[in-house]
Amino acid sequence: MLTKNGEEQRSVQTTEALASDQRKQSSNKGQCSLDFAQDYAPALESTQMVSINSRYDLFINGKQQAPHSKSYFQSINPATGESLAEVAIADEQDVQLAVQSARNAYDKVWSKLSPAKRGRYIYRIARILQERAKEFAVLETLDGGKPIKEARDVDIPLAAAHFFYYAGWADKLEYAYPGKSVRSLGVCGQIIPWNFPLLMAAWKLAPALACGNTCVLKPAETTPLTALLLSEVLQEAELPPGVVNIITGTGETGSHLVEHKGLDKIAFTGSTEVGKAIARGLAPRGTKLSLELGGKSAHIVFKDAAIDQAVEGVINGIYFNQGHVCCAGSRLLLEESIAEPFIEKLKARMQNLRVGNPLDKNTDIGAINSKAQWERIQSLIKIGKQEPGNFFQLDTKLPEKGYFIAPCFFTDQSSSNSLSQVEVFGPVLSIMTFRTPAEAVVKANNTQYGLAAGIWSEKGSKIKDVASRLNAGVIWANTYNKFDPGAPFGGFKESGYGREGGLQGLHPYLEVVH
Amino acid sequence: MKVSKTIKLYIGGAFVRSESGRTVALDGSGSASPRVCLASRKDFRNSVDAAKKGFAAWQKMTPFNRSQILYRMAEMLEGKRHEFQAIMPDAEKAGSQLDEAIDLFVYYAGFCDKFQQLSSSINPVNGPYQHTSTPEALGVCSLVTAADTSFADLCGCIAALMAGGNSVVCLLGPSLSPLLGVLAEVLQTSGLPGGCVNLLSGKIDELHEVIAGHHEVRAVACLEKDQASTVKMRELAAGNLKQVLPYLPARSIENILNYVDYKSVWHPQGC
Repeated sequence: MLTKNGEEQRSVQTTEALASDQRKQSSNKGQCSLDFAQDYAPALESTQMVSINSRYDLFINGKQQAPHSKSYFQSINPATGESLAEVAIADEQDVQLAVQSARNAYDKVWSKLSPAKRGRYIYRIARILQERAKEFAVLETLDGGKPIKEARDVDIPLAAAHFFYYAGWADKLEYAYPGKSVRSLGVCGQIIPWNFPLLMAAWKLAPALACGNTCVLKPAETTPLTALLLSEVLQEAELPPGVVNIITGTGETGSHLVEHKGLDKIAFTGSTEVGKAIARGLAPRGTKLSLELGGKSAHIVFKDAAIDQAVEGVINGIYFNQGHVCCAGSRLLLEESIAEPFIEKLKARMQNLRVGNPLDKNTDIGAINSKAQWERIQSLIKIGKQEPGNFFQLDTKLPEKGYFIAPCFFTDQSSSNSLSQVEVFGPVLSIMTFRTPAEAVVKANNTQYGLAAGIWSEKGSKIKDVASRLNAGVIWANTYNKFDPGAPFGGFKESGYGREGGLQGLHPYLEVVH
Repeated sequence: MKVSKTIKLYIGGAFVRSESGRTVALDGSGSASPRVCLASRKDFRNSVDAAKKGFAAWQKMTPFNRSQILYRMAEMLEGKRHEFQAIMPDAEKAGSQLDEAIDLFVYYAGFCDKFQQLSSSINPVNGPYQHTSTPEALGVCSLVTAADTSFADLCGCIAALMAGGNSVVCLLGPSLSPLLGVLAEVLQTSGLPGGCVNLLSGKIDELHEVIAGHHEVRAVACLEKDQASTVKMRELAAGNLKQVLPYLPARSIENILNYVDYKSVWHPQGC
């Protein structure tokens, strides 16, 4: 039981304050307002079913082990700024132990197991995750600040689905490569980000295990708790010791892992800057690498779009998970003739976004993941304000404690604005206009990234044509931010290489034998 | 007295001298021996510009048309068999090398309109959406040959990159540069849009920085087996996240699929 009564009380007040503030706004703002006040009573999710240990050790060779480093760091609840638990920092020796344990498990157990049995273990993991979904959802929200409704409805079900999907591949790999045979790679080092902590662990572990590899997983520094809870699930599933090892720590732990010469494969999801450094570091060894990096995805709305649906899509595209989404639709490209009314509709829709306690089931936008990220977003907003363009931010009361930022956007932007190029990873949208489909494509492609893009139009042939000309790995047409274990995800250009999910997601974890 | 020509670079469908004005003697001997232009960094950048235009033109063609052009290249190569044999350094192996090169053009010609079907997927997602993943060409690729790269491997790698829909800037080392002129004539007479394939002769040590560092070059097919040089290339390429990839000297769809990106498109289904 983590959240104390006092805190809950405070959260309740905050939510009520927010609601009353919204009522005020709707009456004050002429054309943006709704003609009725929408109000919700706070609906806090209980934290009773989660028990958080005061201290977490490393998960190596099937058991929790104190780190050689003897040092620990605090994992913070970003909605309160308070510490949740202390978590072990793995040093070079701990990394060595974890890799060694994964190697032993690969040589002695996992590579000798029949593919069908491998699949059975992964199915078990999926099932246990489904059964403990609520517990994971609450913990994910506490540790990372995301709204409980997202953790509950998106992160955890998708994570379980990912294990379930890849479990079935384990004994069917030969069908993925007709006329060829494949083999596993060996030991994989996997480094994941803080925006979808458990889901990213599932994206990494499930295909790696299905393809017959063993893993050393390094969760993000600010969100280690659900991965550590996953280690309990792995034990419950009786996964052979060492097949998955979970080592927590800072960026330095990640560096030790990447530098370890005993790995056959490295998978990294995170910033483009770190991705480049990893690629450079691996150059002499030529270790197989897949990278899922940053984005500055364009969301294109044509005048023939279903406008109200597009508004919903744009809101979901940028404000989902506080904008902490690598494929967030962070650049909105509006056809000039609809730009003004569209922006008004956007403002009106934003009045109904509820920023606040992530544990409240009504909350749309939760806490920014960490103080460091909060500071980064604020500094980028400041830069945006200094450059040409106009700024709009939802005028809402934010909780007094914790790290919160009201959703906002910049209009009248051009491709040369910083916010049209720099990934913010926050609830900040950059809006520009275009006149022709060709101009929209040029502007959409004018970044170093190529992760995702959105297209809104009711004209099928236009969607097909624009989709074919966008340099992006994932394109959402008349929808946005949809994810599925069967859907390959990954980018073009400096958004990385390799795909996660689907049939194509097997490739990074296999060697094709000729 | 023999009239000897200087072999020019092949950029954007035209035969041009190096902007640097540099040439080298093919056999390294006196001034009367045949010479080849020596590409500079600027020549490489010009080639990438040409290859971007070539890529757009190549993409506009249907896969079936691309297939026909690759097959035409095999035909033109066959037509110039004697010309090649006369200048290939190893006369004994020349015949088999040409056979293999022609065969590889035919092999990859057949893949132009098939690899998409073999590597695409309709993804069964949870919800009312149509979701497909299809391979797309990366764009401009660079091909770097090694001192011992055979003519057949060069042709096979060019053919595979083109079959995937990419355009290519090839850097030929000293052993292959005598063949640059005749190979360029094959390319020029096959109905290939200008810039789809560009041929440079040059020194890898001078050019690896610009090749690996160039942001418009999306991948490097590295036939170089020298570890130090490949490592250097990989290190530089990390700066813009391009991949430095091998070419498998085998008939394989992997030689195409290594040089594509998968694009996944979602669309709702429903009335």
